[in-house]
Parts: sequence; structure tokens; C-alpha cells
Amino acid sequence: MRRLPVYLLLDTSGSMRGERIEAVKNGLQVLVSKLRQDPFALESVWISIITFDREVKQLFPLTDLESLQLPEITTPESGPTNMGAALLKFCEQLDKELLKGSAEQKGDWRPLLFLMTDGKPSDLADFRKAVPMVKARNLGTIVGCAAGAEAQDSYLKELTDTVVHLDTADSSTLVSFFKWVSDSIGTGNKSVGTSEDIVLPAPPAEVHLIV
Amino acid sequence: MDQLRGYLIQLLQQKCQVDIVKQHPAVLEDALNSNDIIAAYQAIQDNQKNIITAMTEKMDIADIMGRHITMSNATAGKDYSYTFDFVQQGLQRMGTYEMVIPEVTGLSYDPATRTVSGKPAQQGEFRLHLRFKIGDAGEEKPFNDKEILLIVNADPKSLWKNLDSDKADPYWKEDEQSASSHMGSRKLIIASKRGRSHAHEARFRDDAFSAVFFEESQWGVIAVADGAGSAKYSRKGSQIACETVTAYFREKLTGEKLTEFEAAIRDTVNGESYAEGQKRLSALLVDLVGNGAFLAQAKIKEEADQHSAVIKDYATTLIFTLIKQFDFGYAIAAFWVGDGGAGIYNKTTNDLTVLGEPDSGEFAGQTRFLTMSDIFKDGAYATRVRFKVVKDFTALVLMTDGITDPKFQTDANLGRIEKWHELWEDLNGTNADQVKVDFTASEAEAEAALMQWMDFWSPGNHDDRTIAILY
Repeated sequence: MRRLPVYLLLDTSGSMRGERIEAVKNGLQVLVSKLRQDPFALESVWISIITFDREVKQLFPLTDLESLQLPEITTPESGPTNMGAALLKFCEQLDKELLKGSAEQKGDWRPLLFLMTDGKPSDLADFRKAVPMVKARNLGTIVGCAAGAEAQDSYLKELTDTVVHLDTADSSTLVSFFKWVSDSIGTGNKSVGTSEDIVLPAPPAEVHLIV
Repeated sequence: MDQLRGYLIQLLQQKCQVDIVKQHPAVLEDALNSNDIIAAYQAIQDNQKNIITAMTEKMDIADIMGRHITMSNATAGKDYSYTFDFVQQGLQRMGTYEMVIPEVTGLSYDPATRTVSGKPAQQGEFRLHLRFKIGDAGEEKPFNDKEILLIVNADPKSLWKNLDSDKADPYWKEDEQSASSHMGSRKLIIASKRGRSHAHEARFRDDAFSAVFFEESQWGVIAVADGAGSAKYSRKGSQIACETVTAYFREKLTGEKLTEFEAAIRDTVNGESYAEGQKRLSALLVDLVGNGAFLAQAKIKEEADQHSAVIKDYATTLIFTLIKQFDFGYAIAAFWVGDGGAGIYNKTTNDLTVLGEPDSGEFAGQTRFLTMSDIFKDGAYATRVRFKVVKDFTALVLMTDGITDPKFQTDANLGRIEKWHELWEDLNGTNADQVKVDFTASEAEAEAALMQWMDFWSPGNHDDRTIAILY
């Protein structure tokens, strides 16, 4: 049984409080429900969610979609956006949780990472330290999502070539973003050569690909 | 009496700043015997109790309502059971309660064991209602209603769609294909079937096979190939690879070349000129077999050029074997690039020869392809050529990863005879669907049964499947 690990790194800093975080939760519900309708995903996808604000929390480690239950997500009133620390935490958890292929073990599919923020990293030193570490892990796809007007694409661009921008971080836009995420996850299982990149499906109109 | 006394002293001190014990001891003694005072005190006590009871109840209700209660997820069509742990889940203050479960779920609740169980008929997200009262709350009290989410996953089997591939496509290929024939005294059956993951998205079968037996020379060639799921024309790549190989040997296994090749095999086997024979044989093999594979790559390149595509678009794995029965046994040569597997299995003598090594990466789905430029660089392909002479065998088997992934799981298992015994038992009917490939029946019957066997269910393994069995 080969797993497709999917890590979602979500900004839960103060600016996400209120309508935005509700929109994210709503989007996550849609993502999970949609994946549950996909037979490949239902048997292969394992999800982990890491949230970051002042604190970085892994809400749950890689969990198979069949038994996954979305927990409560809370946001503090204010405070920094420790995206760098979140990426470091991601690397640490990935190294622990990922099954690599060997003679005695069937490896996981190449993991996918989706990072969403409505701002920019407050911990720039950690962020710059984390970027090459994340890149060195040879992930299947890294998607950066800048949600809302204040979100800055440029930092995400340092992390990945695939950066999407959402003009508004409202519920319908986020739902269409997460639907696209679910379609992208569907492409993670194609058999590929050792060095080839996964080609993502075209994003919907509300989701702009930043070139 | 003492309680009332203490209460009065404290009350007057606090509210009137009077030290009654010192200032009016007689009044205090009177009050302790006054029915009115005693009744008023009792009323205060009762009211306090009522307030506490009412408040505690409200707090208990709020606690329970605020609890995030999760039940494990169910799967449609599968037996389900979930037992509540009232203490663990913070429900121990519940008194009278009932669990209301939507009928459509087909689940029921047993209060004795606090267990929800049954077999959910349909998938979906359902809301169970826990209607409860706190402690020994009376009948007049209303029930409180707490929703508990129950997720019933679909049975993955029901989600796979079987969509037709586009027949108008120039590279269209049948979704399933099988063949049977004989190679000398041995029978051959081959089946290839489009994987569920391909059928679900109306994609083509990327696997291919080809086999031929040359009556004149008594040599047989079997090839299987698996086109890369990520390459757009890989279905054609795998087909060209297989067909090129069989066509190539039709030409090469003739005349002087053949005489020289067979002489080297005989010399190696009969031992007298073993070392010398072996040296000659390896050189011949690497040349003969390696060039077959190289030609397959070249033919794919040609096809790509004609269609203004790149060879990567035709990425495919390839495994092929040559076999001939001699008086001393069977000579078998093989070439293998990519994943999948090939082996010579002997059930009786417990012998197994795996005809190469699968190419796998650190992640699933990563392998090497015939179409990669470095496969033939610096004679690297020589290690991909194998040769073996066996007295007898139960089966010579070639498989794509659609078969090896579910049946062998790991690369190491491919070299374990127990796993081959299991595969053989499985083919002989020891499986969930009780599909038996009867190897004593006619080739046509065995071929049909093999195609049926290919439908086996293995979670997460829905790639194209191809298996060739010479027995």
C-alpha cells in the first residue's frame, strides 16, 4: 500500500481571525469531502496539517483519509506569522513520517506541500534557512498560496515556482482553491521518472498563477 | 441548631455590624426557638440548594455541548462498531439520554454496551443526536440536543468509474488483450488489462506485450512493457518496444549467428570448455540481447521524430526473455529495464531465479525507462542481461508492476520463493474471488481464466496489469 503524503501548512496568525479562518475551515471540509469521492485518494492520500502563527502546531500527523477527522482550528488575537518555523517543523515531521523506498519497504509517493498565507514570514531568518531545506527534500509539488491583498507573493516565490494568488480570501474563492488542490493531489500518483516534475492541472479563474 | 446559631451570628455581624453574642445573647437564644426564624432559615438553605443545582446543571450542559466528540469513521458496506467512553469523553454527568441515529445509516445504538454498530448502507456525512438530561433531572425538564458527526466513507470499489478510452485516437489500444500459444512442449498464456486508475479517467492501457515462437529454431521470445503513466504516448512506446524485440529476434535467431550462439550455450553447459564457453556466451548475449533492447529504443525514437514528439513522451519499461529447450534443459536469457519482475519458478524443487533487478527510486512510482539516454551508455546495459540454464521449471513468469506491486509489495520479496509459492497458489484459486487458472485445461480456457484473475482487488494498486506465464 503506497501512501501519497499531503502536507497543508496554514497561516493562523491574527489577521486570519474571523471570516478568513472560517473560510479556510470551510475550504478544508470541501477538500476532504471531495477527496473522499476520489477512489484513488481514498485509498492513498494521507494528510497532515501544520498551522502557524506565533506558535507552530502540527494538528495531526499524516493520517489516512479514511479515518481523518478535521479538528478545531483556532487563531490568536494578534502576533507574528512564523512561516519559517512552520517550514522547519514540516521538514522535521516529514523526515520522521515519510517512508522511503528500499528493498524491504515500498516507498511513499513523492509528498506534496501546500502552504497558504495572507501575509509574509515574520521570522525571515528561519524562513531563509528553511527554504533550501524544503527544496532538498525533492517533493512532488510545492504550491504556495497567497490569499488576499496583503499577502506577498515574493517570499513564496523563493520557496517554489508554483505560487498562486487569491485576490480575496473569502469563502467561495478558498473553496475553489481547495477544489483545485484536490485535483492537484489527483495527479500525484502518476508513475514518473526519477527526476521528472508533476504537472498540475490548470487553476480556476479565481486562482491566479504568478509567473 | 448549631448551624442556625452560627448562621445568625455571621449574618448580623456582616449585615448589621452587631456582635449579637455579646450585645444580645437573650435575643439570640429566643431566635433559635422561633418557628418563623427556623422556617426562614430553612427556606434560605433550600433556595441556595436550588440555585446550586440549577447552575451546576447548566454548567454540565455547557460542558457537554462544548465537547468535541468524534466517532471513528465508517465505510459503506462494512461492519462498523463504535463504543462511547462516557468518562473519557466528558459525558459522565449525563443522566437520562437517548441516541437518535438517522435510519438511513442502518446503524443502531445499544445502551447496555454504549455501542453504535451495524453496517452502513450508504456513504455520506450524518448527524447523530445525543438527547440528554443531567443527572436525575425530572421528566418535566427538556432534553438537550447535541449533534455528533458520523462520516461514512464510500466503499472505494463503488467509486471507480469505467470510462471508455478514445477509440479515435491514433494510438488507441484495446483496454484488455490476451493471448495463448505454445512454445515447444510448453504452454504460454498472457493477459493484459487496463488498470482501474486508467479506466476511471478514460485513459488508455499503457501496458503491452508480445510473444513469438520460431518453429524452425525452437526459440521463443516473450516481452512485456509498461508505459509511464506520466508520458502522453507511452502506450505506443510500450507497444513498439515489445513488437520490435520479437521482430528483431525473428531476424537474429537464424543462420550462423544462431549456430554460434547455441554452440556457446552447449559449451558452457557441458563443462569441458566451461570458462571459455562462458566468456564467449556472455559476449554473444550482451551483443544479441542488448542490441535487441537498443533497437527498441531506436524504433521509439524514430516514432517520436515522425510525430514531432520527444522520446520521453514514449517512456516505457521493458522486460523480455528468450527461451529454448535443449536436451540438457532450458536455456533462458533475459533483459530487464524498469520495474515489474521476471523469474523462473520451480515449485517442486523450491528453486527460483529472478531474471534481473527492478529499478526503483526512493519514492513510489519512480523507475527507469528504456527510453532514457543513459541506459545504453558505457555498456551499462550489460548488467541488465541475464542468462540461466535450468533442468525444468513450473513457470517462467513476466509481469509489469501492476502485478508485482500488489503481489510482491517490495523488491526484496521478489527474490523470496515463499512469495512465488503464494502467487502460484493465488493463480490456482487461493484468492478472495476464488478464480482459478486451471493450468491443466486448454490454453484458451486458461487464458480466459487468467484475464478474470486479473480483476483481483488490492487497495491502492490499480495500475495496468500484465502477466505472461509459460508453463
